[in-house]
Amino acid sequence: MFQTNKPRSTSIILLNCQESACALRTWGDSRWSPARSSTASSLPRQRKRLTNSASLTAFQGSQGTDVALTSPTFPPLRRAPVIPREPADRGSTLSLPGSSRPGWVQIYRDIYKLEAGDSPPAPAPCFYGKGCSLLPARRVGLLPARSCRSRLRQAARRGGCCRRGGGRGGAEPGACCPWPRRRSRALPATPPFPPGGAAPQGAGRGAPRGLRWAVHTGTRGVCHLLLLIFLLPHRAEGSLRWMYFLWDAKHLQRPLPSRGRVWGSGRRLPVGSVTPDAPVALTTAGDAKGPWPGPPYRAGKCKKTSENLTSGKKSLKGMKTSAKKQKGKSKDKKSAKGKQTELGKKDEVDLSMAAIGHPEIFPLVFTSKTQEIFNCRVNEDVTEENCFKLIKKEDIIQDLKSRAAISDFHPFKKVVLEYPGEELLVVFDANFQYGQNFYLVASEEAKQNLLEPPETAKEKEGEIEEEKEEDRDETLEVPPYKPPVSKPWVSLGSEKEVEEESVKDTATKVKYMISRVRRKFGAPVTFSDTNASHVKDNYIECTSYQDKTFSNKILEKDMSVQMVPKVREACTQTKWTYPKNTSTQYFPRELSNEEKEESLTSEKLKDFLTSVHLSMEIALQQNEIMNAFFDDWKALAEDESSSGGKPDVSLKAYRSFTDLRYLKDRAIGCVCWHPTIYGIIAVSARERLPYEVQGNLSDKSLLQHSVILLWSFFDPINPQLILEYPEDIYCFQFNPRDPNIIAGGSINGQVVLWDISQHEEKLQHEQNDVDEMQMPAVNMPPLTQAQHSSTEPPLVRYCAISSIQYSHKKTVTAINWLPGHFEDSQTDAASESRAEICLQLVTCSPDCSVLFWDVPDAKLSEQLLSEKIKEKETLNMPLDISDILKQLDFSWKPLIKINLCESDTSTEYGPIRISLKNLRYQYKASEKMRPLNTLGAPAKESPYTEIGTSSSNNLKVLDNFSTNFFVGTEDGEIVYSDWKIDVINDSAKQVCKYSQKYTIHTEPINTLQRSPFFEDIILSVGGRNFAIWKEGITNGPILQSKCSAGRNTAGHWSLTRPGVFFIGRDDGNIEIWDLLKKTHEPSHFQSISKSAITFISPWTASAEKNFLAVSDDLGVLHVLEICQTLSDPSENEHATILDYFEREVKYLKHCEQEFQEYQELQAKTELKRSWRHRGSKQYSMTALQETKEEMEEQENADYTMFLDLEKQILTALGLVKGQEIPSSSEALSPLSPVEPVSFLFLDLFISAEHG
Amino acid sequence: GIPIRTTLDNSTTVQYAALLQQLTKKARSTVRDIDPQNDLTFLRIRSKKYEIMVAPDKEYLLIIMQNPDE
Repeated sequence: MFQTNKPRSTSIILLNCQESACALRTWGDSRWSPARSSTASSLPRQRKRLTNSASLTAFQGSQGTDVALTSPTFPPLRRAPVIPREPADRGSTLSLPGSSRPGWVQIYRDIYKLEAGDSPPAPAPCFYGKGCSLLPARRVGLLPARSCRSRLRQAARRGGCCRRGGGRGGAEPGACCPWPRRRSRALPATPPFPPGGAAPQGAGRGAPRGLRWAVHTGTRGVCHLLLLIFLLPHRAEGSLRWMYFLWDAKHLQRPLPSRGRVWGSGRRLPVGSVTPDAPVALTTAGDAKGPWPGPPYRAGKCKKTSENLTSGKKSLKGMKTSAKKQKGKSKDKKSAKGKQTELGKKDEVDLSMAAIGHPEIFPLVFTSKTQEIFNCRVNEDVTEENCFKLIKKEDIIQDLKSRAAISDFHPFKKVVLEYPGEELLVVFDANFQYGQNFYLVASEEAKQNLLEPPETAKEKEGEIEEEKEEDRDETLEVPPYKPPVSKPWVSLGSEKEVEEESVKDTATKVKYMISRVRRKFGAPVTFSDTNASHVKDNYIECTSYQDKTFSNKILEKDMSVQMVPKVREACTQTKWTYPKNTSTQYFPRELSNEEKEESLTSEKLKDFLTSVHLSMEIALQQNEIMNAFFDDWKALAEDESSSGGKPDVSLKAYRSFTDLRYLKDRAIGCVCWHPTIYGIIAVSARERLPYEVQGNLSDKSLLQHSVILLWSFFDPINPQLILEYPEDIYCFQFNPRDPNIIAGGSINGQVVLWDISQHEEKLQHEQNDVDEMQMPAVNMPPLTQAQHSSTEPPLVRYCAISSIQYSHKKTVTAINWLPGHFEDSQTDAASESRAEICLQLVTCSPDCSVLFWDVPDAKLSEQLLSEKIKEKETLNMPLDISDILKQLDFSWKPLIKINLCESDTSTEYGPIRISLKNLRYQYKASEKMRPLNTLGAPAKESPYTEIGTSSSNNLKVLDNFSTNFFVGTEDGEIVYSDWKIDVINDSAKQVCKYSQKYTIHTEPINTLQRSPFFEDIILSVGGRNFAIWKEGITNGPILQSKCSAGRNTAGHWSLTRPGVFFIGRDDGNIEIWDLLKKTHEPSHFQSISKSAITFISPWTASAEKNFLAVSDDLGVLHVLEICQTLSDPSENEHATILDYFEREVKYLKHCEQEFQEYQELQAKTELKRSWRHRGSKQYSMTALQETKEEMEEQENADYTMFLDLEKQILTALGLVKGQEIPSSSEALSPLSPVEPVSFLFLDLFISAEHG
Repeated sequence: GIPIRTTLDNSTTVQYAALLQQLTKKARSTVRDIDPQNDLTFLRIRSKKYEIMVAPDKEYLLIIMQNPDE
C-alpha cells in the first residue's frame, strides 16, 4: 500500500503497543533502523504529547524520513499528486499503489521527520483548536468511545464501513475491519503476542492486536478523511485503550495532520471485542500468505501493497525480535503469500467472506439433515451462545462422498480438503451475519481465535499506563462540542397517524349540470294563466302536520339546579361586659305621718274613694252573696259518690286465714300488720274464753303452746313464720322503726321480744316468689299448695323475755312502742334526730300497773359492743340483735312502774288499755346511768325498787312532755291520769298525781285508741257502747253512743278518714261509723263472722287499697278490702270533723255551764228557802241540827219549787198549758242522771244539723 | 306607689303595692291598647286562696284582699 520512491525504503506504519517509550521504527529496508528511542523525547513538547501516548511508529526512510501517502483514487491527490513538501525535498516520498477499484481508500501517511535537530513541523491542526481544517468529529465518526465503537461495528455488520459514500464508497476489505461482535465476545482471550521470535509463518499472529482503523470516505465518495484507530489492550486491567488518528486528505500536505486522542480507557471495553480481527484487518489487503486465498481481484494489482502490508504485519508480529529477522521472514512469507493468493484466485468462486475481510469464513447452509448428521441441530446442539461446532475433516469428507452433491459441504469441498487441521470449525450463525445459518472457518488460525479469544493485553508496561493517564487528562481538556445539526427527517412510522388525522373527501361530489337550449337564450318570456289544479305538480300544498319524529313525550328530563345559599357578611361590634358583683339595697319609700295625714285629708283622695267606693262595695257584696266560682259540677259529682251510690257491701272479703293446728278452738287475740312488707299480717292466738272471764286470765294455766302466726297474702294456707312462746300472747306490736322486732305481752305478765330479722328475706322473697308464681299457677292451686305445705314454716323462738319478778302479775293486756326521743342532758336537741328508734315499750296489765320498758338499741349496743367484742370476732362469734337481746333474757326489768291507785281510797285500777299522749317518753339520763340502761340494766346493780327511786333522781321527764295518759280499766272506767314523778315524793311507788275517772262503759274497755288524725281525740270501746273523748275536756266524753243490743268487742279508727271508725261486735258484725254522715247510728253495718269479733286492724297498702283485718273468736282472720268511699277522705273532712268535735266540746261546755248555772240556781233557791226556813224556826231553835227528815223535806220543797218554776217557764213559753203540768207530787222522784238527757240533746242537735 | 294607709303589715303592703301597681298599669295599657276610648275601672284577681280587688284611679289605688270562702 505504501509506495515509496524506492522500493527498499518502503515504510509502514507500525504501532508499538508494547514498548513503553515511543519508538519509530521502519521496516522493509535494511537501512531502516528502529527509531531511536530518543526521538520521542527529542520531539517538541507539543508534538510529544500527541505522539508518545500512542507509540506511533513513524516511518523513516534511510535517506530521510519522509514518506508520502498517496492514492490514485484519491481525487485531490489524483489531480494534484500529493507529495509532501518535505519528502519532496528529500526525495523519499512514500507512495502507495492505488487500487483500481473505486472507493478504495488508501491510507496516507504523513511522514515527518523525527530526527533530532529537525525543525519542528508546523503546529498540527487541532481538531477543535485554532486553525483546524478538519471536519467536525462527528462527521468522520469521531464519536465518543461507545458510539464510535458501535459505529465501527455497524460498519462491520454492513460489510464495510465505507458504504456511505454513495456509489463510489464501495467497501474496502482491507481498510475496513468488521468483526463479529458476538464472536469476539465469546472468544477466549489469547495471548496477544507470542513469545518473541516465534513469529508464525503465515499469520499475523504477533501483530498488534489493538490496531483498528476505519475510514470515512466523505460524502461524495471522496475519501477526505482517514481515521486510524489504535486499540491498545491493557493487559492488567483487562480493558482497552484506543486511539485514533485522523487525517484529512485535503490537508495531507500538512506536516502533521493527525492528532491522537485516547478514548475508552476503562474496563468497559473488553479486549476481546476488538482484538481478534486485528491480524485479519492487517491482512486484508491481499494477504497471500494466509491459508485462504486472498481476494482474486486484488491479487495482482495490489501485490506490492499486500506485500508491504504483510511485511508490516509481520514486523508487528515479531515486535521484539530484531528488525533483520523480521525482514527476512517477511520476505519468505511474501513469496508464500503470493502463491497462495494465486491459488485462491484460481479456485475460489468467491464463496468466502473475503469481500468483507474474512476470506477464511465460508457461509454455508446446513439443512436439518446435515444438522442431524453432524450433531449440530439448531437450538439443541448449537445455540446462540454456544455456537461452535468442531467437525472432523474425515467426517465431512465422508459426508461428501456419501451424499455427494446433496451435501452441504459440497460447495466447499475444496476448502475442506485443503484444510490443514483435523477438525473444522463450524459456527452457528444465529444472526445470519454472513448470510447463512452456519459458516465454516477455513483457517486454523481463525479457528483458534474464535475458540480462544485473545486475552487482554497483559504485557502493558506501566509507562503506557502513565501515558494513558496523561492522555486522559488531555481528553478532558478538549470537550467534544457538538453543534446542533439539522438532520433529514426519518420516518419512524408516524405517517400513518398523520394520514389518519388528515381530512379527506370520501363522498363523491355531486355534480350539477344546468343546460339550456341555445335558441332560448335571450328569447322573450311569455306568461300565461293556468289552473293550478289541472297541471300536475303545479301546486303543492304544504300542510302542516305533526312530525312523529318529534312527538315523543319527554318523560325524563335531566335538570340540575344548584342552590347556593345567600351569603351575607356582616359584622357587629359588641362591647365586652364582664360580670361583676354588685348589690343594691333599697327600701320602700314611705310617707311620713304628716304626709299621710295630708294625703288622707286631701280632696283628691276623697274623690277617689267616692268614685271607687261603689264598685268595690259591689264586688265585696258579690263575694259575700255567693261564690261565683263555685264548681257546681264538681260538687255534684261529690254528692253523687258520697250519697247517691250506696254500696251494699262497703267491706269486701279479700282473704281469710286460719290455721287448724294452731288456731283450732282458739281465738285470735291480737292482729298486727307488718309495717313495711306488703301483705304480711300477724295474729296471736289465745284461749277462747267466755267474755265475762276475759279479765282475769292469769290463773289459767295453759298447756298449749301459743304462737304468733305470720301470714302472707300470697299464701293463704300456710303461715310464713311462727313465733313461739310457751304462754299465750295477748298483745303484740311490731317495732315501727325496725319491723323485725316484735314485742308481745304474754298471759303471765311477761314481756317477750322476738327477732325475725333472719326471716325477713324469706318474707320478702315469699312475696316475690308468689308474685312470679301466681301468674302461671292460677289454674293449679294444688301445686302451689303442695309446694307450700311441704315447707314447714320456721319457728322463731323468742329472743328475750322479761324477768318474772318484775313483770306484770297479770296478763299483759296492752303493749305499745314508744318512739323514743333519746335526749342527752348535755346536748338535748342534737341527738333528737338520731334517736328515732323505738327503744321503749309501755305495757299495762290489770294488776294496776303500767310498766315502761327499755329495749336496748340494737344498733347502739352493737356500736358499743363492737369495741368490746373485737376479740370475740376473731372467734367468729356472730353477734346480732338476738344476741344482744338474749342478755335481757329473764333479767329484763321495766324502767318505770306506775301504780294506778286512787290516792285517797287506795283502790286500784286494772288497766287494760293505755293510751299515752304522743306515745312518747323522753327522759334524760345521767352519764352513769346510760350505759346501765343501754346495756340491759344488769339486775344486781339496779334492783327494781331502786330504779323506782333512782328514776326520780336520774330520770327527769322533759318539761314540755305531757305525762298525762288515758287508761281503760277492766271495770269499764276511763282514767285520765298524770304519772309525772313527784320528786319530793320519796315513796317507792309511783303514784298518780292527778286522775280523773269516768265511768261510761259498763264492761272492760277493749279499745282505747287515739285518732290518727287528732292527737287529743280518743276512742274508747267497751261494753255496749263506745265514747269519744277529747283530752283536756274534763267534763266527759264529747261523744257517747247509746247502748246497743250486743257488746262492742273491738274498735279502730280508720287510717285514712278522720271521721270514720270501725266497731266490732260480739255478734260478728262490724259497724262503720261515719261521723260525717251520722253520729247516732253507724253508717254501715256488715256481718263478718258468726262469732264475736276480737280484733280490728286496718292497714293501708296503697292509696287505692285499704285493708281491714278482722279476727273472730273462732280463730279466723278475715281480711277485708275497704271500699273507696270509706277509705277516701272527702274534701275538708279533716276540718269538718275537727269542727264537729269543737262544736261538741262547745256544747259540752255549754251543758256544763247550764248545769252549773242550774246548780247555782238551785243552791240559791235552797239558800233562800233555808233562810226562810231558818227565819221561821229561828226563834224556836237556836242551834238547829238538820235532821234527815228536814233534809228530805227541804229537798222535796226544792223540787216542788223547781217544778213550779218549770211550770212557770213552760207556761210562759206557751209550750204547755197549765193543766198538763204534772203536779209536783207526781213528779217527785229521784233525779235521773244527767247524761242521758244530755245525750238526747246532743243527738237532737246533731240530727237537726244534718238535716 | 307609696302606701298611705293599710291594715296589713308594712312589708306586705309594700310588696303588694309595688306588684299590683305594675299589674294595674299593664292591665290598663292592655285595655287602652285594645280600645283607646276604653279605660280600666276595676281589677279582680281570683286566686286559690283569696281574691284581690283593685280599684284604680289616676293617682290612687285601692287594693282589697278578701277570702270569699270564709
